[in-house]
Amino acid sequence: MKRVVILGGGVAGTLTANYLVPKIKERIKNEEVQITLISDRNFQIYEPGFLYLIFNRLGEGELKRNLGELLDPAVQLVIDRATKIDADNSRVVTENGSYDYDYLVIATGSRVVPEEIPGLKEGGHWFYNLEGATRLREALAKFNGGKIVVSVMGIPHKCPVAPMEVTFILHDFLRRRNLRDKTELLYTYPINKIFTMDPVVELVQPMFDERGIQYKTFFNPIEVDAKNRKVITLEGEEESYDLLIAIPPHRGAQVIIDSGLGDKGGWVPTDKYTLRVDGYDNMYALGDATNLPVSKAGSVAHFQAEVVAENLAAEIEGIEPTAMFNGKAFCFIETGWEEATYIWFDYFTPPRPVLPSKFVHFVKMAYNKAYWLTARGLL
Amino acid sequence: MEDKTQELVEKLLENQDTIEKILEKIILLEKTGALDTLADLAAFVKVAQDTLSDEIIKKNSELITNLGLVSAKFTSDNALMLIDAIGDAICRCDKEPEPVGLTGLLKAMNDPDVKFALGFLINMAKALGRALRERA
Ligand SMILES: Cc1cc2nc3c(=O)[nH]c(=O)nc-3n(C[C@H](O)[C@H](O)[C@H](O)COP(=O)(O)OP(=O)(O)OC[C@H]3O[C@@H](n4cnc5c(N)ncnc54)[C@H](O)[C@@H]3O)c2cc1C
Repeated sequence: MKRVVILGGGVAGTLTANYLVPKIKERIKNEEVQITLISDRNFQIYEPGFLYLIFNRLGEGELKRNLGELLDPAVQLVIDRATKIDADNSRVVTENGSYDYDYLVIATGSRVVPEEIPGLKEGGHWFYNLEGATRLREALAKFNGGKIVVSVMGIPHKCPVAPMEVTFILHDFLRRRNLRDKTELLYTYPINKIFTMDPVVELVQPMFDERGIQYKTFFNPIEVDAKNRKVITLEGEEESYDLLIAIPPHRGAQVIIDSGLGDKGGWVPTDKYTLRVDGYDNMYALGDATNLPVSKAGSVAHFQAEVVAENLAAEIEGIEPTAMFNGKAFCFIETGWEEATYIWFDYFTPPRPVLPSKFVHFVKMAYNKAYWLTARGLL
Repeated sequence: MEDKTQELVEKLLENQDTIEKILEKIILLEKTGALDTLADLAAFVKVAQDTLSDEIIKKNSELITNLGLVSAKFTSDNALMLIDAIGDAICRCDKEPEPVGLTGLLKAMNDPDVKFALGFLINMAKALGRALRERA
C-alpha cells in the first residue's frame, strides 16, 4: 500500500487532499493507497476574514469550519502536532505517534512572529492572526482620533495587498464614524515604493493622495518604543503613533525549522515549477510554507494544489508527472468600505488592476462566505 | 473653449487606433441590436448594485455554500447507489401501511430483505457515530 501524508490542514493541505482523492478513488477503495492529513487543529480558519473582523463586519464564528466538513470522507484525518519530519527515513513524528510515508506534502503555512521586533507586542497591534485581530477590533472600536500608523515590518508576509486594503478601509471606517478629520493616517513600506508591483503602485498611490493618506517608503522598523509610542527604523527615523497596526515579520512553521528543512526564515526550498522539495523526490511543498518568489496567498495555494494533486496521482499511477505551476496568483483589493478591484498575475504576466467598483466588492463579500467551497475543491 | 477643442482633438489623435477599434465594435453591436441588450443589461446590473447589500450577499452566499458542502458528500459511488436504491424503494412501496406492534416487528425481522436493510442501517449507525464523534 502506498501512503500519502499531507502535513497541514489549511487551504493548501485540504485542497491537495480533496483534489487527489477523485483522481485515485479506485485505488483508495481497493486499499492500494491511503491518504492521511495531519493537522494540529480540527478546524480551518479563513484568514482573509480578519480584514473584516477588525471592523466587526464578520464574526469569529464565520471564519472557522470543521475539517471533517471540508475534507473528502476518503481522507484519514489525524489531529496531532507534527514535531519532526525525518526526511531520510520518510517518517513524520507527531506528539502522539509517527507516520511513515511514500509521499509527503508539506503544507504547514506561515505564522507571524511579532516578538522579533522588540516592543511590538507591548506597543502595537496586528490583524494577521485571530488573537491579534480580535484585540485590534477592540482598539478600533475605542479609537477616538489621533495618529494611526499602518506599518509593514517585514517581507515576505501573507497577502501582500492586505496592508493597503486595511488602510483604505480604515479611511472609510473613520469617515463613517466622523473621525477622519481628527485622524492622521500613515502607511509605511520597507522598499523604495509603496508596493512591489508597479501597476498596483500606479493605481493605489493617486488614490492615497486623493484621500489624504500619507505614506513613507524605505521604512524598516527595528524597534517599537511602547512607552513613548514611537516606531524606530533602521534608517534612523522615528515615527510617533496613537494606534500602531503592524504587519509583523513572518516565519515558516516550527516543525520545518526543527527538522532542518527550511532556510533562515523557515521556508522550504522548493522548485518553482514542479513544487518538489529541493533534494527530495518524494516530497512536495506548497502554500505559504515554500521559499518561492510568489505571493503568500490562499489563491496561490489553490493553484499549486491542482499541480501537486495531479503530479502525485501520476506518480501513484506510475506515470511521469508533467504538471507545472506557472506562478499564478489572484488577489482582490478592497479600496474602500464598499469598492474593490482585483489583480491576477503569474511568472510571465504582470498584473493589470481594473477600475475599482462596488460590484467587485460584492463578489469579494460573496467569496468570504463561499470560500469553503474552494477548500472542498468545488469552486 | 478653443483650448478644450484642441485638447480633445489631440486626445483623439493620440488614441486613434484604440478609438477606431472601439467604434467598429459599437457599430457592430448597434447593427445587430445587441447594443440595446447591453443597455438593458447595464440597467439590470445597476439595479442589483444599488439594491444589494453586504448582508444580503453574505446570507445568500452562506446558504449556497452550505448546500454545496452537503451535496458534495452525495457524489461518491456509494452515496449514489444508496440514493438510487432509496428511490427504487419509494417507487415500489405502494402498499397501504398497517400498524405494527412488537410481534409484527419480530415477524418482519424474519424477512431476508428487512434483515439486509437492518444490516445496512447498523453499518450506517457505526459510520454516523464516527462522523459525529469527529465533529464533537
Ligand atoms: C489578514 C489576511 C488577509 C488575507 N487575505 C487574503 C486574500 O484576500 N486572498 C488570498 O488569496 N490570501 C489571503 N491571505 C493569505 C492566506 O490566508 C494564506 O496564504 C493561506 O492561508 C495559506 O494557506 P496554507 O495552507 O499554505 O497555510 P495555513 O493556512 O497557514 O495552514 C497551515 C496549517 O498547517 C497547520 N500546521 C502547522 N504546523 C503544524 C504541525 N507541526 N503539525 C500539524 N499541523 C501544523 C496549521 O495549524 C495550519 O492549519 C490573507 C492572510 C491574512 C493573514
